[in-house]
Amino acid sequence: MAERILTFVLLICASLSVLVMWVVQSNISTARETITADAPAALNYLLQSDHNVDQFIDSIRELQLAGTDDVSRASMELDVRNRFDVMWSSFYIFRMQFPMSTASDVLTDDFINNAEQFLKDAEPKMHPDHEYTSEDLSELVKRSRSVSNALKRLGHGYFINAAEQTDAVEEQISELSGYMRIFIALLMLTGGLGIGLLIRSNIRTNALFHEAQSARSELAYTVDELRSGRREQKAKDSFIASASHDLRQPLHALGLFLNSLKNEVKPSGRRALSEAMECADALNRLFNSMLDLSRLDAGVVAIEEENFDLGELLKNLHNQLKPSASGHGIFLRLEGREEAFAKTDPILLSRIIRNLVENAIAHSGATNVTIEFRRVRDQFEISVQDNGKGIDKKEHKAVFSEYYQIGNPERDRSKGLGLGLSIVKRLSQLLDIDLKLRSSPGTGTRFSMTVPIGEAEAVQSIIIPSQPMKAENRNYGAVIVVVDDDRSIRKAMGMTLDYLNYQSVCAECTDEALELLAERQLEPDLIIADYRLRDHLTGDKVIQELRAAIDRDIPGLIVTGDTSPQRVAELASTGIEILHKPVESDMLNAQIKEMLAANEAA
Amino acid sequence: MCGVFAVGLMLNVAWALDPAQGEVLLVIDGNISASNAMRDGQPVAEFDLDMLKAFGSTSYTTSTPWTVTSTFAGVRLNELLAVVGADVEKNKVKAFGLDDYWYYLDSVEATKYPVIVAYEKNGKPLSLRELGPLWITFPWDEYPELLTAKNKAASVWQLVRLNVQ
Repeated sequence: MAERILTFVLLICASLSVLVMWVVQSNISTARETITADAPAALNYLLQSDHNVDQFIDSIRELQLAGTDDVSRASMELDVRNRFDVMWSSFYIFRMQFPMSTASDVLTDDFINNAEQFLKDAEPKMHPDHEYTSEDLSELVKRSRSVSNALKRLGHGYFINAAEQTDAVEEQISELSGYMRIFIALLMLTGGLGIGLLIRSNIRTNALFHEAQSARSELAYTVDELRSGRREQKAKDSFIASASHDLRQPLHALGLFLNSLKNEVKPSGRRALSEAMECADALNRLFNSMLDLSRLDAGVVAIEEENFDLGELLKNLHNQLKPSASGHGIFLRLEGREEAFAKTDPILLSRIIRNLVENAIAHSGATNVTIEFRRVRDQFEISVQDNGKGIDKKEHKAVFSEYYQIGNPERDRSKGLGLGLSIVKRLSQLLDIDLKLRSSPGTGTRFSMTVPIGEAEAVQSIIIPSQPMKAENRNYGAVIVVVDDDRSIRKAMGMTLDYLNYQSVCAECTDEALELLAERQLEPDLIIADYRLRDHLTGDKVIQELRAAIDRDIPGLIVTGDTSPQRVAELASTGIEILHKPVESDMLNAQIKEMLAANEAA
Repeated sequence: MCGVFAVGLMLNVAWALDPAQGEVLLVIDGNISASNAMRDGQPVAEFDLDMLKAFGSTSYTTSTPWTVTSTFAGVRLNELLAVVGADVEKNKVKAFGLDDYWYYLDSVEATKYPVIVAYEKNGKPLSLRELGPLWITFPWDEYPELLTAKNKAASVWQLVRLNVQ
């Protein structure tokens, strides 16, 4: 809108300046005419003519003074005639040049008529044969004087006229300079507005250009996401995250309830209980895998690269996985003798290999699985090979996607969800490891990868991926506050903590917790809170509130079923310990003990 | 020896022109390198009509601010001045009329344009009444750019004397 007004003003200024220029131009022409007509030149003609008349009179005077028998009388007469001709020509010029506006018509006419009459009357006396009488000469002088007077009157007329014209010119010039000032102002305004508009449009063009660019890159990103399937992936991730949150709550409670039953059931019910616990365990593992995936997607998995003994790591893995393999009737071998120091993240690498081996055990239908490592130039090649049914070439890509299982079209849940290889793929991408798959139906499958060689001297410690610790059910008598808005979870947690011989104080919110503590005259040693509570309250806030109320830096633990990558990242930044639902009682106990010990040490 | 040589050289230069035989129409005086007469103790160059005609005539037909279209013939101003070693564009040359009018010729581009000292109009000698016998004229019609106030003032009629400074 403002731009339109600006443009309008600009156009008006431009047309006004053109108009003013036209006025100036026409004024200049008028002034020029006036100046041209006004005449120093005319004045000079008058002076010159007057001088010529004077010289004519002088030549006659000389002739009057000369005697009739003077020898130079002839040349004197010639001089008179010549001076007459000169005068004649100057009058002729005057008549040609200046019968115009330079003086009043009356005076000009008076002079011209006077001069013409004089020239006409004098003409016969200018014949070479004419004999001059003294009367002739006196008459010529008298008439010349009369012409000269007419000239003087005309000159005076010029003078009067010149004064008027000078003033007129002056006036015109001041008018002109006024117009010029307006013109310059308008021109400057026009120029300024023009420049302003130009800058404005330039800025707008730039802004549009940037907008277009960002829109284009956004579009390109979206297209790229659509093409690569990342968009679907995200949608799936968020669906899984929210679904698993809802599923985790009851599962968590279920595990806690089952654990607390362990020592209560009759021997006849033990088998059913242990089967139920196994089922719960399988479900747990499944959710842990999904959590791993969401953690990987959230980018909160930190890579800690170090030099380590690869042989030692693989030997440990072999020992851990061998019983499970034997359980499936599979012989698990480890090949590779040399000392091998590698440089990468040992924990993440061991998860890759563990997943590959577990995958081979569970899905390949093999009888032999071999873990092998060997040096290839300046790298170590690690491979996991089975002699199972193999994978068709066209399925090579698909095996790395989530929920994909070969030979499980009926989706037998006992064989898992098929997340193992997609975790492997993401981990290897994270570690920048090139994972290779070589397989065809009937010839078995070989996954291989290479890791950089490390330095033996730089090895700090031997990393042994540990099995979950067995809980020691010792009575600490520690007071643990549980804040959860879900009644069944509160109950289950209370039972579990009681079973683990802690004193539990279970509350729905901060105020209730404080009330209960006061009632029972207890001082809390640890706070366990759910992350997402009623009324937009969060676990970390509850912990802070309790710490503030009791005025002590009580260790805090958040148990959450929320696996969305964003939430995981948020929690990782609060500095409070985190456990993901479902939590087994052993794991919970180990975490509690660790935190209490750390707090005591501090 | 030296003195004799110097006098000889002076005489040689000063008397390079033949003396005028007929009526003298034009006198060139002042800072000149050739002369054929002495006036008031100064060497001057005097020209009669035959001497002027001897340069070869340049002619053109033109109107003037004071006359209708006519054919003028005369001597090129720069050629005439070259005889006495002068140049309107290098020297200051003052042109005098019979009526004592004078004007400087330094703004006259005599080399670029055929500016002449005319002695004939329409094949006849210029009379006094026709602004003769000599008149500095410009080819006004062919070169309208010559119609300036200075050139008009420099178009000296009834020319009798050129003073070179």
